[in-house]
Amino acid sequence: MNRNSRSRPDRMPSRLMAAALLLFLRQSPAVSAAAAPDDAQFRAQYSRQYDLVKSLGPDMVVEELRLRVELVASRGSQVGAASNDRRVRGFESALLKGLQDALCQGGKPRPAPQARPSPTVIDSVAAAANAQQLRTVGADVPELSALAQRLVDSQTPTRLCALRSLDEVR
Amino acid sequence: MTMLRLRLHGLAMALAVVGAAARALAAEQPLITPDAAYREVARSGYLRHVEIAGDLDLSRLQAPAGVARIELQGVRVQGRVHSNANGPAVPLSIEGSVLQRLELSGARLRAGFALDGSTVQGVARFDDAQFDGPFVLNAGTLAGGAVFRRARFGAAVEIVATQFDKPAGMSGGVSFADARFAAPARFDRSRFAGDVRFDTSRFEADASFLGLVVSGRASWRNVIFSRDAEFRFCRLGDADFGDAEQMTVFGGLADFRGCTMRSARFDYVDGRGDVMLVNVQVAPGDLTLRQAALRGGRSDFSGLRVAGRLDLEGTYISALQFHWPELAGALRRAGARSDVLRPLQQRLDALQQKEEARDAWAILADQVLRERLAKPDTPVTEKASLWLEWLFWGWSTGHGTKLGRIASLTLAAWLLLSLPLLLWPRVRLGRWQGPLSDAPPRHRAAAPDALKIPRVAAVDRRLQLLAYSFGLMFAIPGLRLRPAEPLPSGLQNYLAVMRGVGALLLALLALTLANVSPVFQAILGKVVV
Repeated sequence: MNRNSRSRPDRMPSRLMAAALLLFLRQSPAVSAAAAPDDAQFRAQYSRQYDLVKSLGPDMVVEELRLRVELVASRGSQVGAASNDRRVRGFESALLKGLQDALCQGGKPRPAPQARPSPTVIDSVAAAANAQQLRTVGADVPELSALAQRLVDSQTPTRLCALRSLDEVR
Repeated sequence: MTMLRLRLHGLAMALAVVGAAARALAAEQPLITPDAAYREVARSGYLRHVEIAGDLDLSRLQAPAGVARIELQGVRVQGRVHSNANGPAVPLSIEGSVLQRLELSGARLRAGFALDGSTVQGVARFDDAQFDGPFVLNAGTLAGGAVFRRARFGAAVEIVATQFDKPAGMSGGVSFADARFAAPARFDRSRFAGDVRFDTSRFEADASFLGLVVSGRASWRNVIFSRDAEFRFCRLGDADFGDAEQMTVFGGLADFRGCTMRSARFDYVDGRGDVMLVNVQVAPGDLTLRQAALRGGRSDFSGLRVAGRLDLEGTYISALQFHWPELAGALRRAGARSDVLRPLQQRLDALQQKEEARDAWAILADQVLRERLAKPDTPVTEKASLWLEWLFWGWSTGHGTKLGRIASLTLAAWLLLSLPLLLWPRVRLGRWQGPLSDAPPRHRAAAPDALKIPRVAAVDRRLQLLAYSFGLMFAIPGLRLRPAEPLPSGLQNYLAVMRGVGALLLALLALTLANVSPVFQAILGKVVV
């Protein structure tokens, strides 16, 4: 036995893990879609949704966001345990926390990135969707990101950092 | 006459003046403060034709003693209508009014709430609200969206002839997700311009959606209808009653008679009562009932029309009533397997719908052959025999069900096979003179001396040849026509082949006839007995 052949079994677990990670990334549409904000289709879907809700009041944007998440949650769960309502609520909390973690520090706003679509918002949406094991497909992530972005834009930075739940959005 | 005309003209003028005055009065409603509104309600129990400058808190509406109901008629509220605490102690009725916003999120109304012939221009929120008394939305318009998520209805609900508009910028979705209906709920003739979602809601009593119109997606995933659910004459976009993870239960009757849907999904539905899909039309999409269990006393699919696919994979349907021609196309488009087709065929047989059962049998037998051919472990010899079976029995006779097809095929084969005989030069036919028992087989030539060969015109000769080929192929008894020697060996072999093909076609024709003709079956039955 040479050294190479001895080292092969040692490398197997890391290879398996890498393969599993790749498989996970392929099967997790939220992550894969979030990783492509520069994609023309992603940008088009994002812009269309953002323009559509531009005229809505902030509370109605939250309602649109809830309807959209309900639709995604109704496709079922990879774990299938939590009720839709809990998953929608869970998504909202995770999204708000993600946005506040990225845009606030110690309850105070910090400079927000100007890029649109904002990677910060997209990452927050993708993380919230993954946390609730939502099966995002197609236009889900760009449209949810647009709604979340509109929500952020409709609030003053101080107000956004002070929010405890999306129910408080007015 | 002139006087009468003048009087009528005068009367019309007077009525017009009175009408204009009434309209002017209605248009110029007195503007009052919310406090004034509370005082007026506390004094009289009603408000009529006023405009309220500000928010109206329903919890502050208190009726005077002895008044059983608070009524707001022709009221316009500039601000929002909300309820900070429990609503009025007596039922509240709002009629012919215009509300800017209705925000009853999390509110509790102990008595009834009715919004009749009124318009809510902004959003109407009822999420997490609890209505202990009857809840009525009748002939009104919710123009700015509506939310009923997690609402609790303790008494009857009537959301009837109400229009749910799709405001600009919104998807127009209305959510009743996780709502609870403890008493009968009616959504008859209401119209949703966008989607409507009843996911995870519970109907403890009868639910009625008669003539419901939903332009977008109508979703009843993971819903429990404890009693009857009636959707007669509904017009839905994409109807969704769940799947493996979010199945819906119909505890009583599920009545969809006369409904029109763009597509419909009933996967994993548990239908414990009768399921009526009579005259339902699904177009242009699919109707799927994968793994659904319809186990009531009657599952009626008569008149069901599906423009797309009808997927019945793993479906259990008890006491099914249906017509095969109505479902055959949609089943074919769905690529229905033999385990789907077999119970349907058996059911048609049991229902004594004989012709339909035969047609279903043809499709089933074809599918069984196809599945056996598709099996990778089927030996080549078996595959060859299956192909032959399909060619001679399946294709030509529709597995013994298509009498017209095999008859046409037989006729066509006779004419086609007769052509070479007609065109072969110098073929002479004659009548066998001696006893038929001494005659050579009909495909063999006879010595010219033993035949009577008449001199005939070309046309008559061809007719004679056709008569001979018919008799040759179809074993007509007493055939005396024979070709005269010398006959080329090639033609002799061809005549033998013709005879063989004729015998085969005749056998197929006879078997098919025995299969489809009740008269033949009766005769065969007597012969066998």
